[in-house]
Amino acid sequence: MQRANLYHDKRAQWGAYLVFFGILAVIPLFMDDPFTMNQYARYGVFGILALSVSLVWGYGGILSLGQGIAFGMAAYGMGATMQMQYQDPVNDPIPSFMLTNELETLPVVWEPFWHTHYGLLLAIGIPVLFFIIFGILMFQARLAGAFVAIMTLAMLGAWYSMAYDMQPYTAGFNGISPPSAFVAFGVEVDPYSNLIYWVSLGVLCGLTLAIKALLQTKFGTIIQAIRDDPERARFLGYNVAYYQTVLFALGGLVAALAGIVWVMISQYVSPTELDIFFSITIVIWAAVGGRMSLFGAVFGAIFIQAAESYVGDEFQATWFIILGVVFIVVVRFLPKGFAGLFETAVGIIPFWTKGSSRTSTNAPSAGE
Amino acid sequence: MSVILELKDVTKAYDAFKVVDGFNFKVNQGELRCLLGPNGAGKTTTIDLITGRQKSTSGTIIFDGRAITSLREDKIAKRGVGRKFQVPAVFKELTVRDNLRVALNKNTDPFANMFRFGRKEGRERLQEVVELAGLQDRLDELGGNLSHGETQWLEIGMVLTQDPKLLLMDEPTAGMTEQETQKTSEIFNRLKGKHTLVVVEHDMAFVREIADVITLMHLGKTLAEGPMEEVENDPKVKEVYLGSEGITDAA
Repeated sequence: MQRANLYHDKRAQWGAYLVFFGILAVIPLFMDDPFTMNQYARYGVFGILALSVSLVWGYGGILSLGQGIAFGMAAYGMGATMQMQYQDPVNDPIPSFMLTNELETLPVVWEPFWHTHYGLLLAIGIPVLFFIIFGILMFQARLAGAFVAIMTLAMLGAWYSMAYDMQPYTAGFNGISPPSAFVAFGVEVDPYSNLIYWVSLGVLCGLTLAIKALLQTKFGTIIQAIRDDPERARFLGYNVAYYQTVLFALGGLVAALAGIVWVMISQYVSPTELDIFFSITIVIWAAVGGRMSLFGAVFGAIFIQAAESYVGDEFQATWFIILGVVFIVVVRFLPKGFAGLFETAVGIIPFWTKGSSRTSTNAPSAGE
Repeated sequence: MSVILELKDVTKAYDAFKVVDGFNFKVNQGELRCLLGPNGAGKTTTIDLITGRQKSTSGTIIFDGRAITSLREDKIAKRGVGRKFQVPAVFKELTVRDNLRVALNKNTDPFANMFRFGRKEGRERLQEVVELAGLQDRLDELGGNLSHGETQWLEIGMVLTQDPKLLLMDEPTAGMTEQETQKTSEIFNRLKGKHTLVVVEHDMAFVREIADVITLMHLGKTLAEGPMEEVENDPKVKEVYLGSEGITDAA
């Protein structure tokens, strides 16, 4: 037997996830307040975004400040899909904001959104495709660290301006507000209902478990190896740019799914989704919660956003100063975020594993 | 014996300065070759050129019968060239076990590896390497927590796990204590014959311990080549090291 930290035990980790999501799943049964459910569903989306940063940055070492690109693109795709669900092909074929912008026919790019399934496919597919191309451009050139951060940030700024400027297609600053809720398979997903909360939580839970499983595979170990030392990985025969592009696109996929759920909740999409400050906030959630822990990142997102809505109202603009101070303190004293603190705390609990490390090389490892 | 690695007139120039200057070099299968030379002789650059880290200005590098001169690093590695860096490079945030598992690179496709948990993969091979590198008790330790000597052995172990046809070792004993160096030379003597090795080294005691044939580089060219005693007594070598007591002090 060998003394170990329960925090690193795989079964304990999966168990903690089960308990965590189990508790979250039954919350609506005790609350039954549509407005609160809408608010909590939003936290779910923040959690998903934090997951994407944890995967890409925490495990893959790619500091992307542009997760908002996929989030925003997918949000616009979803906004268009929901808008067209409302429009009528015969009597009312063109969204009203287009009419006020003097468009007489529906733009060709909007046509596929008549069909919900094409709309969703585009809302997810386009951002992922964009992340693949953008990833190839960056990683083939072996960009890393601050350069990736700057590139993604600049790209995000470009998309923000586009969404803002192409008023006839995006409704510009006003944004698109589909008049009706999203309908899937004949079911209306009311943004003020228990259902919206479960949809958001379901996506968050599904993605957390999927990413957790992905990190247990050899792919998961290799991306962490690349994070530590890309050069070493290259000389072991790995095409580092390929791995980074795949990982970056996966992060884009996760952020895109967050965008889809977001518009179901808010029934509104505007350039705010592509706002630079928002994307940086996502990184702060992950850093504060613990970027090298999926759980930590999700917790960080919920913790900071909940604090902002409950405490932030009192402090108003001062809230950003508080957030800044928290960020600085955590980065300086808790490099692994709250998750690191938790790891240390759990380490105090007496826990033993079979001392098998001497002879076997097949015990589980990696992950958080 | 067949030639596994051949460098033909390889030159690497920065503007007018030639770090490697029309260098010709041949290594036979199963050989352990030491590459020696004073600082700036072009040893590490030569290793960089073979492994694709730097591209040669002119010349051809043939490995295992095929030219690898302009290939990318990972492709050269996949062909069977393993490399240990001068400053030991291991994955610091991964356990020793995971470091070795990453080195097991039979399949390098990201999508294939998403469905591979690799618990059983290459278990015997890992076992063998772990014993050779003497890391049995350190498997669960993070790479970043190892001592300097252990880090060197882990990296040697990783290169071995790769199972390359040719191993290039850039100063494997740098910074090691005497006992650690002793242990490393035991490892190398066990590798001899089974693997082809090229070792860049400054520690002459170590070289004496392991080398069959040494190649002495000077200003990017071969100055002398042959068994230790022969090279040591070569008048050209004595001239280059004039004022010092022969190549023993080259470090």
